[in-house]
Amino acid sequence: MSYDVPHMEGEAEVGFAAADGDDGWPRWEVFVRQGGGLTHVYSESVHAPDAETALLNARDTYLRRIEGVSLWVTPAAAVTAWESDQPDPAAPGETGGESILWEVFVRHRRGLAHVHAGSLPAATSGDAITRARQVYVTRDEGVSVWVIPSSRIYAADPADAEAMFAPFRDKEYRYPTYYDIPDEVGYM
Amino acid sequence: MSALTDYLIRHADDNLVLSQRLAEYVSHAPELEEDLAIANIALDHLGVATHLLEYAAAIGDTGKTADELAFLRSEREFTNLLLVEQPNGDFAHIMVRQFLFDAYQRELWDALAHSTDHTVAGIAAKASKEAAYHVRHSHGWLVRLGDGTTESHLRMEQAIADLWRFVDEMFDTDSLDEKMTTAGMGVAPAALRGAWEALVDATLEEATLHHGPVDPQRRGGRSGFHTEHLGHLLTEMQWMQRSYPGLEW
Repeated sequence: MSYDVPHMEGEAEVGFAAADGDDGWPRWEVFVRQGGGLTHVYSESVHAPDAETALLNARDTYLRRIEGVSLWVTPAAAVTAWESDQPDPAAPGETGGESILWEVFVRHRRGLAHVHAGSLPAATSGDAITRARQVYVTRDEGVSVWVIPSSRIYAADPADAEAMFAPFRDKEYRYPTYYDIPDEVGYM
Repeated sequence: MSALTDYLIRHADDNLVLSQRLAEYVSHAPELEEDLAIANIALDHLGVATHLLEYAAAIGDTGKTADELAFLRSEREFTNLLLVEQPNGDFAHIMVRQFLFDAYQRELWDALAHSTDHTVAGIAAKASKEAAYHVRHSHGWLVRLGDGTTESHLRMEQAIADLWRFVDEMFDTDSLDEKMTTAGMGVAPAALRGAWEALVDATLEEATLHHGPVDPQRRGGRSGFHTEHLGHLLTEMQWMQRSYPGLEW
């Protein structure tokens, strides 16, 4: 399944605690869907004071070398992670609470990035992890799963795509291959 | 020189000079991500300047290459707006300068995208996508810092007070603008002011910032009369070609 802009609330998120405990801007995780790509792939993180700036920072930091057509950011604190070498999270039970929608990202092998797998409803993050493993991690093919409440993922508005993504396309100098390296330099 | 050449050069100079100013700031931004953003924006302006100067060089009536136009003209031959040559000062000055100019350029490129000169229209169409992003970036900072802490608010008010005297010059319409507009190739800057004011006024209100009338307004950049800052900027920007003529690397 491929879809853009899952559940963009459009409201800037400000003021949550810095995830990495320093006094600077909080950390945001960045997911990019490349041209021709089917899914959003994890692309490391940026620091930003709010969702709007996180989107712009992610654009400037990660779209120079890869051609993105869609961009998601989420506060690092919104990510709940499960690693295959960790004990299972507490079994879901007694939820009672209302289900919300979660986006699921799976890392299929060590060394690869987390890839958007889909979304599912769950009442708690532990519940979401368990269901995500049941639905998206069959046959031991995932080594790590992240779940993020859909409402905390901020997507670049498709209406802004021209300004967000097009300007990089004709800047060939962003690639190292653009530059001639003198013979004397040898291998770099 | 043809009117078109002069017209290309004045808009190239705006972008070239602002690009140099922003490049001076690289590695000084408060956060790494913002440093990258400013470097990106500087490169966008440099790219626009390059396209315009290469077109001017191709027309040929200056007898100069694009590089020579950039690196071997003197201060009096630069026809950029005074706003873009103003020194960086603090982050507030950089962002206010950027926002006032971004809002102007967004209207400018949108209009010039309809130029009857196809090369101008093509460059403008590309630049307008970049300008849309630039405005989004600087608008965010205006609101964040204007409606931020007491200190950030005061610094933004100071930057606006310092830079507002360069606003009217952006919208002066001289004989070259009139000639280019009549020919269907250009746009009268005065025609851009309404849309510019709508965006700037709304942003200042959102940012809880104010501007008073600043009198007298400074002007003269379009005729080559600059503030004292441009000479220093060009000295640094042109040092390599002045010291080692024809050097390439």
